[in-house]
Amino acid sequence: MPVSSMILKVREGASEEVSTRLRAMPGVEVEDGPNGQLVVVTDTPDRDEDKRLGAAIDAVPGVVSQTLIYHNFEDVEEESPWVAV
Amino acid sequence: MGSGLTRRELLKQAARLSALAALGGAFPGAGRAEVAALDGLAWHKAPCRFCGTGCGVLVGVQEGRVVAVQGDPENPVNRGLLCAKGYHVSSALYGPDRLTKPLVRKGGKLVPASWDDAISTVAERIMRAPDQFAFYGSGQWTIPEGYLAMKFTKGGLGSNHIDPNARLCMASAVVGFIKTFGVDEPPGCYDDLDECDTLITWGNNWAEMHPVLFSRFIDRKGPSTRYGRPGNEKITYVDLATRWTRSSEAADHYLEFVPHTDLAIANCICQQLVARGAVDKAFVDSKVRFKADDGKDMDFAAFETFLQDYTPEKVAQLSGVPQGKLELLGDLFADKKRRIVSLWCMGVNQHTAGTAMNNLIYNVHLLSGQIGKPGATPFSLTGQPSACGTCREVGTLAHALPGGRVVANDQHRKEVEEVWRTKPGALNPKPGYHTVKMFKSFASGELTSMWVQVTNPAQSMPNLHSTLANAKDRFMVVSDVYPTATTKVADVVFPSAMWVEKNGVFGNSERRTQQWFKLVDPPGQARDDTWQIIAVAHKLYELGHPGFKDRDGKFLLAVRDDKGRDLQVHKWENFKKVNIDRPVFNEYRKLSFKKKKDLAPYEEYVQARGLRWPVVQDASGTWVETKRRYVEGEDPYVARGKGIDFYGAKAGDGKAIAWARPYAPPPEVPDDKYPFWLCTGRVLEHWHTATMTGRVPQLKNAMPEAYVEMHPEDARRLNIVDGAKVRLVSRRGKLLLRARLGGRAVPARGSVFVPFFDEEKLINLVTLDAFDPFSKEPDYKKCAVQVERVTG
Repeated sequence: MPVSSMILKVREGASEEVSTRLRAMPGVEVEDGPNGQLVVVTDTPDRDEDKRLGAAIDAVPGVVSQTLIYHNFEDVEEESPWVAV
Repeated sequence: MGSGLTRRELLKQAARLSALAALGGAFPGAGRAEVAALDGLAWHKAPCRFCGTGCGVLVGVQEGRVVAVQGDPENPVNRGLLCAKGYHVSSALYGPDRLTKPLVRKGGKLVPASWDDAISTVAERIMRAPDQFAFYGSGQWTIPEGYLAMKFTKGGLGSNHIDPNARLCMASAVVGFIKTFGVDEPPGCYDDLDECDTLITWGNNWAEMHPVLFSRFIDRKGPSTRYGRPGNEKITYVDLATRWTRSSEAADHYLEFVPHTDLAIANCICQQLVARGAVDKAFVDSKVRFKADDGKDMDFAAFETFLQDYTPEKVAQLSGVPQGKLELLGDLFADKKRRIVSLWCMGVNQHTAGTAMNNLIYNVHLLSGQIGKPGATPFSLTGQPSACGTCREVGTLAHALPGGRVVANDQHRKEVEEVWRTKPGALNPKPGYHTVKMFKSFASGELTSMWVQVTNPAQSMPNLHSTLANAKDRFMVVSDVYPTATTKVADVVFPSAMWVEKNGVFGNSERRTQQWFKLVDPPGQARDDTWQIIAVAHKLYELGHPGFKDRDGKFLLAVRDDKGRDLQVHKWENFKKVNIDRPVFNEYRKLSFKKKKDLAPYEEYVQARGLRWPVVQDASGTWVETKRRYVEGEDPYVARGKGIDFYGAKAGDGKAIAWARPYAPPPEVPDDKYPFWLCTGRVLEHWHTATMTGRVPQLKNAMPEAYVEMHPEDARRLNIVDGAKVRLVSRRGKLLLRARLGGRAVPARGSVFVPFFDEEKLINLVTLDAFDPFSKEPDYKKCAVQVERVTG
């Protein structure tokens, strides 16, 4: 169940509309940062969903760029064929 | 968790706090310690594994496993930001098909073997014909790995047949630097991106290839006509390119030129500076000399005459760039108030006139005085995480020795023999085979054994058919972390540790050396590349190869503790108990001073988020890095009153050299039979040949296979729709691909673009292997192809 955060740069004046759209997405929390930037935290069931949600956020009209900051996947098991030494 | 919050709530707070920290000073109290207090993870610094930018990553470890990553807010390169590749960097450790056992080919098949057997097999084979052995590495070698591979080949075997894949990406940049400044690597640094008011990209899609640097710059920029931006500074960005990309989208001016005419465009800028009387005369008189293409000295008047052919009017015809836009470039460089950064990478380097093109960009900056001031610099970007630190500084090239030395110089060899304590005269003065020649010699049988580490030449070498066709009876050892096109043809496969499964040191594009510690164990029996080199070397020593005995008869690659005791690290049980990077780096450091590329002791890098060389101790004993080289007050090697001193100059006069490099047509141009230009390159989601990024499902899904990108008008003319099957045919090979129209980038009319990451669709079967005469770097950016629609 990955937890991630990202910073979004948003076209001037579009911040409120983008926030509203993002808040409608499940697993997304949004808060305002300086210069119209948005801080987004996502909580998703698996990595595919994490990626899908990331792409959906990037595609919201008004989002100019998305920078990824934090990514925790400590309880993701499906792709860790970990062999002990 | 007495706070009453669930684990997920705590993690979400940690994620939020990290993002606030990355936003900078606006949110005091949002720091690393606070994040760690929330998620309870042990966080450690490491540079990102992927590109040459050298972003800092914080790696979260829990119970011996990497479970989280975040951008390192304390790292001055990326200040807490990461791109998509960095974000998934840890997943590259956990692909399901990691190599975990040594493999040896028996009866035509690769079968598991013990480490002892695999090491012996390799050493015995090398021993049979040591002169016919070559080492092929990469810009992903850590500094200690590259240093030991070099000591193994040049010190132990007395052979110079060692070269890195970096030959394929930055050799032209290196030779360009040496020809202009006498020494390698950029004078400026990333800080110049924060201080320039004008930026020119020369054939460089940094929005996708170096996204963190791009965002560092673009965040400052005010809204332009095409691209709304939160920054508010007045900045001009000009993108010179042969393909419309995300970078072009952010530019104020997109100047599309006919491939190869960048040479004429650079000369055209200089022509205008001269014609307008805008040359920085005082600077040029005291700091610049002029040379003709053949190396003969010329005076400024002769250089002016050379430039006469490059008027905007003439160059507009040749390049396809409108005259007005060429004059705009002239205006920018003629404006003394501006601070201009030029950026380039593979578009300039993978060029049959790559060295010349590097020289010409320096000419533009020298004549306009746009160098050595904050925000004013030519800056050559690199693609690999330690192309600079390992290939260029350690010097893992066929002609080089550590610290800017060359094998052909008697004194240089003697200095290295002293530090390595080889027998006097052990080093070979004759340069070895560069990459293209190495593979040709391996195909012809002149070389019979090869060891490949951290790279995938069976995919990335140009014109693959001829390279591999005759190589079946050769002996190839491959150290890697995943099966690749190259492990498929190997005789022995060594499973390697990667990134934070081992200790390491990388050197990035801005001369910044960054250290990290091993954080987790490698899977299965995978072991460090440094250990593999030492173990094979020790076996050669046991077999009696004289080169592996030092002048006292002891093992040449022995690693010793501070008291001089041999740690016997060729035995794995000893190796895994110590950090050999410290003694190996500190030995290498002794060779770093000659060309003023001074490194600090290893311990300083443990503390720092990287230090940019030269790193020199000040009067108080503090180790101080250098932001801008050759600049008084910044570079400790520039004497007071000198202003700018190009002290690397071979002539000893402190002057850089402006070269009169003419435009000449490329070796292959489109014609009736092969009417399109083909350009190849990378995409955001994948790094190089995708052996790592291809294992990250999220990256693989986003960009599953290679494609051919076309201009919509060309596609319409040939009746090709988006997704249609298309065959590309060149004089060398052909490849079936799907067409991509209306995607994120648009090539110029009459040209097509294909990414090279896909091991199922090897575009290098089609490309040309013509190379630059100085750097021997192949041109992956231009050849002529036919585009056919495939029906059914």
